[in-house]
Amino acid sequence: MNWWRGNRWWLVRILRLPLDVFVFATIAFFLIRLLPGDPVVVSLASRNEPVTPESVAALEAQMGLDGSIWSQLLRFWGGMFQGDFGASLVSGAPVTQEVFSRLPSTVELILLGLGAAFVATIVLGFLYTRFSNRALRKSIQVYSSFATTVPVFVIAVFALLLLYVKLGWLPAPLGRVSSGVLPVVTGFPLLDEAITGNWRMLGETLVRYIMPVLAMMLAYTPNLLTQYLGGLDREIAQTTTRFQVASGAKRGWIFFSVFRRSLSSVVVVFGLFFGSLIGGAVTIENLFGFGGIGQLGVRSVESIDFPTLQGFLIIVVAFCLIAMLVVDLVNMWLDPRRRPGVAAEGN
Amino acid sequence: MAESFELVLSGVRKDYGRGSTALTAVQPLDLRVTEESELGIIGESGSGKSTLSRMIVGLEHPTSGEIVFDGRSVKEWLSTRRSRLEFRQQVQYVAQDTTSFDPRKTLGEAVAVPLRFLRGITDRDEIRDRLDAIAEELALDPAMYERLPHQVSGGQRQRFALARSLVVEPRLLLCDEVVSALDVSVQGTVLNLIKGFVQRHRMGLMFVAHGLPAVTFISRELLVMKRGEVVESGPVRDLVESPQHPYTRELMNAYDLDDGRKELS
Amino acid sequence: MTNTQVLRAAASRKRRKPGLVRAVLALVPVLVLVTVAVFAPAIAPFDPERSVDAARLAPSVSHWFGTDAVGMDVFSRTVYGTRIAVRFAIVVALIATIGGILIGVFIGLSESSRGPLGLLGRLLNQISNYIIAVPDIILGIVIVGIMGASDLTLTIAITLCLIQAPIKLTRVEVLRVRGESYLEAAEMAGEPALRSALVHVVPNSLGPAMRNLPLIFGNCVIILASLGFIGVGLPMPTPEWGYMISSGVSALMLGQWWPAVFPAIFVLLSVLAVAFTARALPKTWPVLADRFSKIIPNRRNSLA
Repeated sequence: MNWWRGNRWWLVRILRLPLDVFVFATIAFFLIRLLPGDPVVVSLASRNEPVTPESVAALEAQMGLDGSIWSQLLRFWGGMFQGDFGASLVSGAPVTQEVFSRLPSTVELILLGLGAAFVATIVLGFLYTRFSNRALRKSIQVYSSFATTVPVFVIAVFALLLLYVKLGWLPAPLGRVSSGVLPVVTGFPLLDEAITGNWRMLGETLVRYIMPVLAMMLAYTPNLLTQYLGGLDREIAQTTTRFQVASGAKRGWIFFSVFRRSLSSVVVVFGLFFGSLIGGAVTIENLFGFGGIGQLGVRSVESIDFPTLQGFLIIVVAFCLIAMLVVDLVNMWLDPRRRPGVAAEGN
Repeated sequence: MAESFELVLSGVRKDYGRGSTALTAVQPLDLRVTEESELGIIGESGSGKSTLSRMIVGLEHPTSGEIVFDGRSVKEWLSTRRSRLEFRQQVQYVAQDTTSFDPRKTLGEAVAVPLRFLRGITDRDEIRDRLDAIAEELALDPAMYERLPHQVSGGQRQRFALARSLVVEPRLLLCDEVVSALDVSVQGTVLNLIKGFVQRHRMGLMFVAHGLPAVTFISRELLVMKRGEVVESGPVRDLVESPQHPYTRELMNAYDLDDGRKELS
Repeated sequence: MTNTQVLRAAASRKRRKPGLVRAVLALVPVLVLVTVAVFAPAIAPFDPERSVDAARLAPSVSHWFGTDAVGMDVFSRTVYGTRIAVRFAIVVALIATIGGILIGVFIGLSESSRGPLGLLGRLLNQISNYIIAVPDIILGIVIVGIMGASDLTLTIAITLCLIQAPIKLTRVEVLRVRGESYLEAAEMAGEPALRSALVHVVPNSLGPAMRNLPLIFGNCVIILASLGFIGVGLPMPTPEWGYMISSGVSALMLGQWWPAVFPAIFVLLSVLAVAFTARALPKTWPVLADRFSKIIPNRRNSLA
């Protein structure tokens, strides 16, 4: 009984996830069918095919839009429990396969971008806290005030202009490698290149990642920095800090304590951030010619690939929910105060 | 002039929560209040005194027991729109003013609202007259009706809150910590105004507070509450001079009634 | 007047003026943006949707920003791009804020009641929670995929993304206001619940969503450009910045930077302009509102 009480916070959260995904999928199911416009008719028209009852019925069946909405729902649920979201109208491959084959490469990009931004935040945060130079602090503050204002791809275009066109230091934005097909083991390009010992490709990919990751770093650091600065203000005013000062702890020690605590307020927002990270990654993939889920999304729009769009939405969101859950759990593990229900038990 | 009325509480009890966090805010109690009553209810926070007064006006509902005003239960009074308005006109409740005024409306607009809904008065001039009359009775400058709540002092705001309740001429007035946030000097003024008004209009009064001087100044009878229970009740002077219950004794320890009254007058 | 009085008067005059000047300055960047958008037809020398000259001409006196891969004047297209971005941003900001406030008020008022309205309120709240979980671009892709790309569908898509913030903000504020004692006092005064809601709750809950409006404006520009960039935005030859940037990248790789870079600069500038105003506005809004209320006489009377 006690084990349950003490561990309830993460168990409940993990158990809630499949339920959340299920409910979201159902709501998405209805929402996309409630949208005005008939994808069947539009698709036929765009392919210059005649709109006859037969062609409509055939396409409807392919898209999974045949029958009443309730029969569609039942089939949808049935499929979902088996991990089947139908087949892509473009390639014929199962939607899940289409999405999962591309998802890891997008994730790799996101993780690198987020990691770079986090490192930049740590560095700038450290400088800010350690040195009380007014000019330095002011410029860091100004930089952080650009939070989420500039789209990643715009920064990337400028980076391209400078580093590729004008200076020629970095290669053209034409994919992860100059030639050849990426090895596929886990789906993460860098990892796969390393695992299969493809050093040329690994080197090329690393170099071609410089600009995109740089752009993501420049774009996302302000946001994280704002969180850090806010956390810093809070932590300095905390009784913990005052106690440390009053108890005569060494300056360096107090400094690190405040630094560490302020950083946790940065980690807190990682989960919320994930949505914008995915959006940014999609645009970056497009610009630099990287394969990923963005490419799949655009292809599905162009060919009005209804099953893929539906599956794409649900799987990507499920993934976001998982990522947010992981971040939440890590935060709750690091800071017991954030665990729901624990505070109440302290009464 | 208020006519006579009778408010009877029988076995009224209020529980909150469930299981391990259950709490009995008010233990079963009986009470009888009439237009002659000037009843003070004293207790520390958590004693249930506020919950009790809120149940009487229907802002909370008893878990068991009955509250009957003029032969009908409060539940019945609140069941239809018409009887609810009638009930509210007769039984008014004033709480401690923290934010009991919409910050975006003038004091005049606020005080006029019950006249409109509880007395059905819509004629501008009549409203104006009544507003002026109540302002005079509560020693307020009618010019302040044009002001917004944050533009007057706490003491004035509290009196406007009272004006809002008294302008409809209720038969019973419940005051809940109305002077607790005011300076001692201002407290006396407000208490005197309430007492005078209540006596002139022959209204019943229930005054809930945790401060001894205020409660004993304004009341004739006293109810002492602790943890939801009425530990002692009776005429004020008796309770102050010869308290029976140990808690009352603790409360009244070295309190001199006449000194206290003198300070507030 | 004595010397001290003169000094004091001069000091107070100096203190009041900068407030108004600073307030107006806060609005300038956005006003410039809107002006360019409104006067685009007058500013742009060429038709933005037609080839007017040879392709890939470098910036010159006749074509300030050069021409793109099909010979359209980049300057005209960029200027008209402002018009498109601002038009979308204004429409989306208004619909999302007003709609968000209405929905947020409804949810805040109904979510704790037991009947069918309470159920609806809680359902809407949960749907909103789920939509928030969808990244904006993904939602845009899916909606455009199903409905096609047009002004209407993009407006719907972007509004759906951005309406969640005002809904949440308003809902929280409504819940806060519901706890205020003046609602209880209104009940005591016999006020009907509906009137209470409209007269007390709604006006006092508007603040956060209204303050959020500039952010919606800015985010709309970003989302529109992002969707246009990846190719699911407005169809060509509409002069939309995102699309212009993406179609200009191939020229960029050949050293012809102008078709891509100029729209990119405009995106950057407009986003910075909106951010600047959004940040400066809350500090200066009281000054402006104060000035306004002095111009418009107060028609309030003290009776209900």
